[in-house]
Amino acid sequence: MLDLASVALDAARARGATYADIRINRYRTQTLRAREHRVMQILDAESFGAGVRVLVEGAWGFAASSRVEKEEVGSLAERAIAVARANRPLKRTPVLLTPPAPVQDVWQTPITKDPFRVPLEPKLDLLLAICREALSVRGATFCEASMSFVREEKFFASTEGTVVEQVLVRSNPTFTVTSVNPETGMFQARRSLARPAGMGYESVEAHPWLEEANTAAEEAVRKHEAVPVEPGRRALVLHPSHLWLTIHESIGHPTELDRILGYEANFAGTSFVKPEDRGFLRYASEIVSVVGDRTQAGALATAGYDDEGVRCRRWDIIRDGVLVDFQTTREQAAALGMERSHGCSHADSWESVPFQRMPNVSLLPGRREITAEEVIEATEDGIYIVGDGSFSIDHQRYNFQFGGQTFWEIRGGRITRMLRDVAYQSNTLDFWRSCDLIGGEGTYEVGGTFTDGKGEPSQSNPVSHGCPMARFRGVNILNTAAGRGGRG
Amino acid sequence: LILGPEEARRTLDACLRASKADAAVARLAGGAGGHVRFALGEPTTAGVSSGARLTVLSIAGRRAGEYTTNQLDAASIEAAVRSSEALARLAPEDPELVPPLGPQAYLPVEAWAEPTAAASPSLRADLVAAFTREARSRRLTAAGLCESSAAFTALAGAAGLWAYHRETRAGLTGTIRTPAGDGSGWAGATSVRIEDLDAQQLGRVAASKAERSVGAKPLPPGRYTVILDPAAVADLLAFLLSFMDARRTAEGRTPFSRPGGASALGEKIAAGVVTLRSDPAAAAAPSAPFDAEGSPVGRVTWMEGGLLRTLSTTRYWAGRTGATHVPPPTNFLMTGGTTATESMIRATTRGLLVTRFWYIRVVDPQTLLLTGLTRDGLFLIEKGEVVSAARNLRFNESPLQVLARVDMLGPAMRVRAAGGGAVLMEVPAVRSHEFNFTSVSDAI
Repeated sequence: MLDLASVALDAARARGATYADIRINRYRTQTLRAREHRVMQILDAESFGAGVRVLVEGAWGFAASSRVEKEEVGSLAERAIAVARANRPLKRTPVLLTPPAPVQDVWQTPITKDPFRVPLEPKLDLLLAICREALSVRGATFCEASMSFVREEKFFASTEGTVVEQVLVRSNPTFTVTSVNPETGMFQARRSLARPAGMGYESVEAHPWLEEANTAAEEAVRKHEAVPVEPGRRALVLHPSHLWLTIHESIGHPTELDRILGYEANFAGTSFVKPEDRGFLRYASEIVSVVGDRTQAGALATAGYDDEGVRCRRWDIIRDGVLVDFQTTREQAAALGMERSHGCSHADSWESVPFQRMPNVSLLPGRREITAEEVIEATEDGIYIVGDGSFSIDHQRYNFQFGGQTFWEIRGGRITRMLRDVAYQSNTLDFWRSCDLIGGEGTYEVGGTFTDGKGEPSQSNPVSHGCPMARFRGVNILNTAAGRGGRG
Repeated sequence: LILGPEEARRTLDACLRASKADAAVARLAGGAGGHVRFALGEPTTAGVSSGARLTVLSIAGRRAGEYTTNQLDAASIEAAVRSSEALARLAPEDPELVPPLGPQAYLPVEAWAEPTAAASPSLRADLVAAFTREARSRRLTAAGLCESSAAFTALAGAAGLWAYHRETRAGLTGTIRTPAGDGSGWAGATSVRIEDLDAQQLGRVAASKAERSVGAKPLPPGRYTVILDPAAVADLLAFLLSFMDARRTAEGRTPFSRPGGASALGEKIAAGVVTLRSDPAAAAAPSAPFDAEGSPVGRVTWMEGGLLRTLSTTRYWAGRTGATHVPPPTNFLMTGGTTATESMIRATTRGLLVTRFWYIRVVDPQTLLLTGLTRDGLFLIEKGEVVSAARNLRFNESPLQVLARVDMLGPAMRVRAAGGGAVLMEVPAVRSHEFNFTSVSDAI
């Protein structure tokens, strides 16, 4: 591997690159899908290739190929340089990087059970058992269950002397139960609350699948009889299985430095946050502290090093409600005069250009050990949301709307009944400044997604968000069925 | 990696020769292309890449397994075949397994343009230069993407299946913003032919929208008449595609389901002016004439004069219900009219002109209720004229309701929906009524 890397890096240097790196990566994936009594898909896949990135007179160039051979990787360096030179005349601000910090290291996701060594049979049995259990509930009509696994073998080398080899493993099991009422023609669904993890098969085995399949099916059926929500301003109590996504959209994305600087203006959008807000912006109430953390155990964006060889770390993004830092790559950190990057460079394939992607961004639990029950008991009139549902936020991350999996009315400190057709709309700063109660460590859970989209050409990033239960005051609740016209 | 039909056939035949399964289908898809991404008026990343994916489906009795590799040497092909066979042996029997296809006939499609396939990094850089020059000359800031690619897909099966399709794609989209961040405009184009991309004109449109969107007025949420640019129409129609499925409809879980397993087929569900078709051979938006298993994708009328005519149907479901097998469309065409956007504006007492939407998600699949926001150019129309820019708004609305209230259509134009993946569309600007906006966004 090192020999191949040297060919590319030497060729790049010889042709005028002031910096170059090469990533030689192998991605192995497995996708298993079932519905009801049938396994629908068994697909294993492997993708191997190399990507060379060069900096020539302050302009980036990149070239990638699935042929990982000496001649080809040397040619990749030439092609990447040709790309950089073609764009050099348009470049007005040369790219600068933070000072080099060469490292040679290996790193591996700590797992106890490699999902690719677990035979198919127990996996397929589990998927079918989940479906069987869900469909044993009266009124449950359909169940789809799936699991997918990723193993990334990543090699990185740069002209600065960094050489890093990593093996990253992730697991993503889930299911959805649907209940169709044949008389009314209405259908309701409930998705699993289990979340993907930067872990091996042990994360699948740790989840109480059959118990949840049963609960999910009962809740899907129960949704038909749930009470339509009364719109208006109410307190919201958000379970971690829901809140992770709100954090992702309204804290994760707005604090990405590439968005703040305008790099994403044509697609994912910019941010309401300005570079000068660092250290000053009152983002949230004082009880809110948020960290960026690519070292968090079991989380999806956790790695030893990012895709430009920067050691992954943990740092504060919001401290006691005040915005104190951003997510950065070497180029962006240098643009703001920072000494080092926070290690947020990521490419979703050997053939993709690395750019700034979200680390695990997590809300810290409260200092007092407040239980989930105590959060409910302390709430006079509110709505409790469990699980993530529909999600949408504007291109500068002000205005958002979220749904959920199940919605529950809280009256007098007790959960009284199930609600339906609930969504909440708010503005990021109003929302986070209204956070008035945060659960303790005991309520903390980690959610996340395998496929956060960003960038052009579009790339997908796995990312987790840990959070405790939390409460927000006076949030605008919509009834999404209000004014609904006739069906289809 | 671009392989011609003969080379692709050789690779696929090597797979089939190696197969010891009862039946096998091999699919080879490859591509090569490049891009320039730009922001703050200059390139930020740029690259070229090339690769291919070989997927082998092996069938043993009623069991099936698939393996994909991107390495095409003899040993990797052999290993992929063996792996897919091993997976098939371990699979449970699939009661819905349908036998692999034999020889098929496909529509002839011309979707290849050599200049696009051969586009150099310099050509893409030139297009970006033309777009950003337009912004700079007006002291505005440009961001966007210019990309061009060539791709092929080939399938071969032991039962005689053989399919080959190749296509090129070029696209330029850009957002131009004012330096103060108080105005933003977007324009974009996509085509088989890179020479169709008029970068300077796209720059002019985006720059003009950016300048005109300064000083946007906040409007109260509520129901508005809307004139949707083709890009905005495509953004909404992209969501119809995933629900137009016969099986899920019969199962009672799409907006086209009716109680007792019935469907809305034959019902008038949109205004009489709405006709939706797909045609892989459409000159403006050519697409693959076969699906992932090699089934022919033909010309289909999905909605005609507002009547729901067709839902896509898998081979298994078609066999079980006696229906015709209809693969999902590979492009989507909404029949246009003759009303220019300017005429729609003149005919509108009060309404909003929408450039494009953003972050659309399904809120309620029962009614296909979506939420999302306007972006990069929203304008207030009063008494037949655009009188000011409007602050962006969030909507909660169903595309089915939008189609039900359409009363004017412009000429159809080629677009690619932001959330619609690679599906090319040809759709018109439309005027619709009572479009439900639910809150104001501060985003510009």
